[in-house]
Amino acid sequence: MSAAGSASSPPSGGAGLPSDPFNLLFTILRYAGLMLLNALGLVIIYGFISDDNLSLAIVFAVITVGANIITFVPALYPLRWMTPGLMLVTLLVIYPIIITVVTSTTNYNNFHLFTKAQAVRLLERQRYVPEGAATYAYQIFQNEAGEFALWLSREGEGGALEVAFAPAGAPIVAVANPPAEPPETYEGYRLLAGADRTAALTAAGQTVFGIGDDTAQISSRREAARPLVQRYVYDPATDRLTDNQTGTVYVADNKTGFFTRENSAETLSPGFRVSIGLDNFSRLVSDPGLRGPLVDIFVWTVVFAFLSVVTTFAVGLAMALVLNDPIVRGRKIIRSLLIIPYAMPGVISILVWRGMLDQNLGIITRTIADTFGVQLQWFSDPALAKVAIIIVNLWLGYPYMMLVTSGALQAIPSDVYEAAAVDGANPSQRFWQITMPLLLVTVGPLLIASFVYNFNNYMMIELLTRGDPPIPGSPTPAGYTDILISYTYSLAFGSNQGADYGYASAITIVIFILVAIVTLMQYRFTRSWEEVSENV
Amino acid sequence: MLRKKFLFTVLVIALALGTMGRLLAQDDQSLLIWADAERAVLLTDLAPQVEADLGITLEIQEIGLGDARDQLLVAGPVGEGPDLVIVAHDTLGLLVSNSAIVPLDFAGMEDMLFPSALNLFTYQNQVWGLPYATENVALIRNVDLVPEAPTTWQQVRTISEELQAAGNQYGFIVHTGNTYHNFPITSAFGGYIFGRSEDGGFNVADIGLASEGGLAAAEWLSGMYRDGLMPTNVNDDVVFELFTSGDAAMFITGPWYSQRIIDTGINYAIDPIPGAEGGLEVGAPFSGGQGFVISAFSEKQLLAETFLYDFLATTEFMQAIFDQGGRPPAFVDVDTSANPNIAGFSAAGATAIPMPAIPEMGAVWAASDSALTLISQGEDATGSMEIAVAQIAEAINILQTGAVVSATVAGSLQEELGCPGDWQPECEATFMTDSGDGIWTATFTVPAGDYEYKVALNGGWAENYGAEGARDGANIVLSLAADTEVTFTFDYNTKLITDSVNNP
Repeated sequence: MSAAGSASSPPSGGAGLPSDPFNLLFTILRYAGLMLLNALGLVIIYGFISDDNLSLAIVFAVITVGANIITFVPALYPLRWMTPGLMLVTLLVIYPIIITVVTSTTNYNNFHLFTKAQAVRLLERQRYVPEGAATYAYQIFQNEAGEFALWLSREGEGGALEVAFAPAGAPIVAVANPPAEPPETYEGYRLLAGADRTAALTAAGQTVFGIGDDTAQISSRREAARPLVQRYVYDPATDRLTDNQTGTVYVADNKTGFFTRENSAETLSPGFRVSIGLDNFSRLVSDPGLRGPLVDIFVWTVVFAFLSVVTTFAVGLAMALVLNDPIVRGRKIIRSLLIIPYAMPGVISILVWRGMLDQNLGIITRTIADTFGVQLQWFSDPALAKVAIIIVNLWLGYPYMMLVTSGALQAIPSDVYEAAAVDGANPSQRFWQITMPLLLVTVGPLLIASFVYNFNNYMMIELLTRGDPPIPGSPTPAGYTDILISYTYSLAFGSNQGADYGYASAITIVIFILVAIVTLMQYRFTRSWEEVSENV
Repeated sequence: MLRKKFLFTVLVIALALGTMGRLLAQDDQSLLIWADAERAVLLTDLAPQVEADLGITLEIQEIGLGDARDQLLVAGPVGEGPDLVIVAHDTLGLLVSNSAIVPLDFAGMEDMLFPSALNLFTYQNQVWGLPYATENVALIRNVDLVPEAPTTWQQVRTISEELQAAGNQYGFIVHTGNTYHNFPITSAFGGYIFGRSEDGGFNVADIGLASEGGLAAAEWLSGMYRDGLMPTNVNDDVVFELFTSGDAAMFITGPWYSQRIIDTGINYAIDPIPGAEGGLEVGAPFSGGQGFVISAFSEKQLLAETFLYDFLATTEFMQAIFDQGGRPPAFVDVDTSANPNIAGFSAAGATAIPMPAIPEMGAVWAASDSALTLISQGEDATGSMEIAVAQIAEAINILQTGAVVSATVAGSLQEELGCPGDWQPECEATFMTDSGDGIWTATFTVPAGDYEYKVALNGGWAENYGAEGARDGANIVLSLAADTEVTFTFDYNTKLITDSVNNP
C-alpha cells in the first residue's frame, strides 16, 4: 500500500498523474486493480509452470503483460476500454485456435496422451524388486529430527526371525537377538502407529533407507525390498531408455511416438505425443470412412442447414407480418406465446419431440395412425427422419426469426409504402419489391449466421436421431441423418473407442474451411442485396 | 521508480500467495477420490468415520462413471488427478496401456470376493481394481402371460406366435439396435464378439458376429421382426410401457432397473437367458462391474492402498454400498435379502462372460448397433452382419496403427540403396509409393548379394509384415547373383509381399 500512498507525488510524465482528488481516486483504483490483476496473473502463471503447462503459462503472461502495457503506454489509451475484451479474446479464441492447429499436426490420441517428458517420468517411476533382493515386513520409525527409519523383519534361514534396522541416509544394521515385536523406541527413533503412521506413509514411501550399495525402500503396503531398483532409466543424450530388469534397450521413435525395441515391433506403453506433420490430413483423405458416405453426408448437411434457414425464416417472417398488422388483437400475448419454443432449453424440446414422434408410443405417430391408418416410421425411414429433423428445427428456430424480422419490418419507413401505393403497386408487388429487399439487407447477415450455426448443429442430430437410420453397406458406421459434425465426431471419438484429438483437430480445421467458403459465397449474395437497397 | 516498486510488491505478494496455495495442497493425510454421484454421497457420509478410524481425510469429487477414465488420463500427468477413482471395468484396457493405474494384490482375501467379480478387474493376469458391484441382464417375464420360463429362443418365438394369435401384442421385445441387450441372444446361438487366443486373451482378428452362431442369431432376430413378432425402435421407455400395459410378456434388462420392474405392478419373474437349439443351453449375457482403482500418478499410493484394503475392502463398506445402490455385490458376505431381484439377476449372471475390457471393444459398438438396427428394418441379416464385421475390422486396424501413411522396404539391403544403415523403417530412400487401392510398389536396382527384408508401415516397426503376409512375420530372403532391378509390391488388403525375383 506504500506504493499507492506515494501516488500523490508530482506527475512524472507518461500517463501523467492528475492533481484533482477525484481523478486521483480513479488513478489509485486503477493501479490497485492492475496490482490485483498482476498478482492474480502471476499466481496463475506460477501454477501453470509448476504443472508443466508452458503454453497456458505463456498465454497468461501475454495477457498480463499486455494489460500492463495498455495501462502504462499513453498512446494505447483508447485500448483501455477494450482491455477485458482483448484479454478474453486472447484466452478463449486465439489460444484455442493455435492449440487446434498445433494439435492437428500431432499424433495426440489415447495411446499418445502424454508429452515425452511425462511419459519418461511415468516410466522412470516404475520400480522392481531385482532377483536376489530380500523382501521384509516393515514398521516405520521416526526420530526427533523427523527422519524416518524402517524396522525390517523376515523369517531367515531355519525359521529364525531376522531383523535389520534401516535409517534414512545411514547404513542398515542387523539387529542382534531381535524381539518378536518391534520395540516402542529404538536408538532414538520412535515406532509410529495409528494416525502417526498414516501421516508418515507418503513421506516414508518416497524415502530411500540405507546408504551406498545397501538400500531399502517400501515397495507396497506389506513389503519393503532391499534393494528396490528403478526399472527404466532414460538417457537424454542418446534418446534411449534402458530396462534394468531385462537389459533391453528401447529407442525413442520420434515418428511414431513410442519407445521401440531395436529391430523389433515391441513398443513400451505409454506412448508420447510427437509431431507427425500433415499425416492427420492425409489420413482424412485416405480414410475409408471419408471415401464412403462423405459426399452424401456433405450434401445432406448443406440441405439441412439451408432448409432450416429457409423454413424458419419463412414461418418467422409470416408471423411477424401478421403480428405487425394493427388489426390483429392481443398481439402482445400471441407474440409472447409464440416465443416460448425459443425460451425453452433446446435439449428439452428436442427430447420431448423425440418422445412425441416415437414409432411405438409417440402421440403424433399414434394420432396419425388412428386418423389416417398410416404408421409413420419416423426414425427408420431415411426421408421421414430428415423431415422430422427439419420440423423439429423449425419449431426451435422460427421464434428467433420472428423476433428478428419484426424488428426489421418496423424499421422500414412507411413513406416508401405510401409512394408505392401512389404508383399503383399491389400488395404482392409491395412485398416482393420493397419489403423483401429492405428486409434482407438487415437480416441477411443473421441468415448466414443461422446457416453456419445449423451447419454444425450437433445437438439437434445427436439428440433427435443420433444420425440413424444407418446407411446399409457403408464402410464405416454412418447414418442417413448424420451431418458432417456428428459423423466426424463419431469418426474421431467413436462410441467409447477412445479419443483421437489430433485427427479430430484436423477434421475441425477442414470443416472450418468448408464453412468459411460457404459463408464467403453467401456474403457475395448479400452484397448484391445491398446494391438493390441503394437503388430503392 | 514508482512503477518498479509497484511491480516488485506485486511480485512478492503473488509468489507468497502461490507458495501458500501449494503448501496448503500438500496435506499428507488426505486422499482425493473421484466417485460417481451415488458413491460420492456415500463416501462423503462415511468420511468422518474414516478420519476417526484411520486418520485419513477424504476429499470427494463427483465425476460421472463415463468421464472418469478420460479425465484421469488428462488430469493425472499434470498432478491434478485423484488418488483413487471409481471406474467401470471396461476402462481397464486403456488405463493399463497408459500406465495410469497400479496393480493390486488380494492375496489372502480371495475368499471374500466372488471370483467372477475379481475376474472383471483382472487384465493381463493382474488385478487392477477392487470391484464393489457387478451387473448383467436377465430375462424379465410376465408370469400371468407366460407361466413357464422358456429355455430356448425357438420357444420364445413359439410363445410370441401363440400370444399374438390370442390377441396379445408381443411375446418378447428387446432394445432395437443395441448390442449390449442383444448379445445374450447372439451368445445363445453360439455367436461371440472376439474369439480367444491360446494365451487366454482376445483375438481381435476373430470377430464372431458373422460366425455361424452369430448369423443364426441374426436370422432369428430378422425372422421375429419380419413376421411382426417384435416391434422396432424399442428403447427403455417403450420396453417398460409395453410391459406395464401387458402388451409385452418378456424383455431383457439389468439390475439398474430393479425398482422400475417392481413399479410396473406386474407379477414377474427374473429368469436366466434362454439357450438355443443348436447353440448353448443357456444364453450368456455380458457381465460388467464397477470398482475402485488407484491412480499411478498419485504421490500417495501407499496411503491409498491402506485406505483401499483397510476400509473399502471390508464387508461393512460393501454392505453400505449395496444398501444404497442395489446392484449385485462383489463381496460374498454382503446380505442381499433386502432386494428380492438380486437373486434372479445373479442366477442369470452365472453364465455371464465379462464384457471385453480391451480398447478394441470400442470399435464394435457403433458397427454392431447399426447392423442390428438395419436387421430390424428388414435388411438382409447375413449381409448386415458381414458388413458390421468389415467395419469393425477396419476400425480396429485404424485404432491399432492409424491409417497407412508410408510403407518401407526395410532390411539388410537398405545401406546399398542409399540409406544410412540397414533395417531402418524410417529411411525415405526405400519408401514405396501407393498406387491406389492399398497396393504399394517400389523398384530399386539392387547389387548382387544375399539379403533379407520386410515391409514396415508408417516409418516404424509397430506395424510390419514379413513372409506370407504375416504381421511381425519372418524375414523374406532375397538372393541376387548379379545386380538386378527388383520391383517390390505390398498389398495392404491381403498384406502379401511380393518381389520380382522371388515371384517372377
